[in-house]
Amino acid sequence: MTDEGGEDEYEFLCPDCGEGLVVNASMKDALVDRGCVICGTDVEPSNFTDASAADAG
Amino acid sequence: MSIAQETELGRKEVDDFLSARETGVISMARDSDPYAIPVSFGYDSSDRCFYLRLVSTPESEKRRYLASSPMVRLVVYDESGGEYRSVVVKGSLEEITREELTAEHVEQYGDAKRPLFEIWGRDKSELDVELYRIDPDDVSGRLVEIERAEV
Repeated sequence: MTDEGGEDEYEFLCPDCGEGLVVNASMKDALVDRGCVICGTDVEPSNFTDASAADAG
Repeated sequence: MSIAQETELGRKEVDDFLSARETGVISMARDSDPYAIPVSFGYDSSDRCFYLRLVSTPESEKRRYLASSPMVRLVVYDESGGEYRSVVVKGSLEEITREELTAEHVEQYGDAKRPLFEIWGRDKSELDVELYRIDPDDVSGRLVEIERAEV
């Protein structure tokens, strides 16, 4: 899914604290690089789903 | 024990001191009631802002203080080899909501350690984790060198 600006969106689910956020590509990269913004747990690319895939069904 | 020398820390010394530390004590007040807790923080020397994750439960005393958007003071201090360094930060707590989060915020909170002093012992579903920033009105640092008498 893209927002009105045409930017990719992803759904993030923290494997530790359970925080869920809809993020853009730059935030996804930052979360993988720096960890969950809420609890600090390491984040993997597998903790994201493409929002467009979630909407497809 | 006597004070041999007391000097004010310069901007770079303050930045270096804060960048090397991750915990301090934050104090706030509501009416005439004081409240102080140890916190972990991340410090961005480029904008001189502090980034904190504060954990509370809905019914907690902390939540009541945080809800009042209080003015705060953050004290970070250290003692080593007869030298005491302390930095006092004055400002207000600004909450960063989930909707406001940007990639830059994620980077900045990456420098804030997990909340060491917080109450993670409880089930996380019972906890509110909120993100806060302090954009200080004033930051001051001091170095005190102590002379100890030989025994």
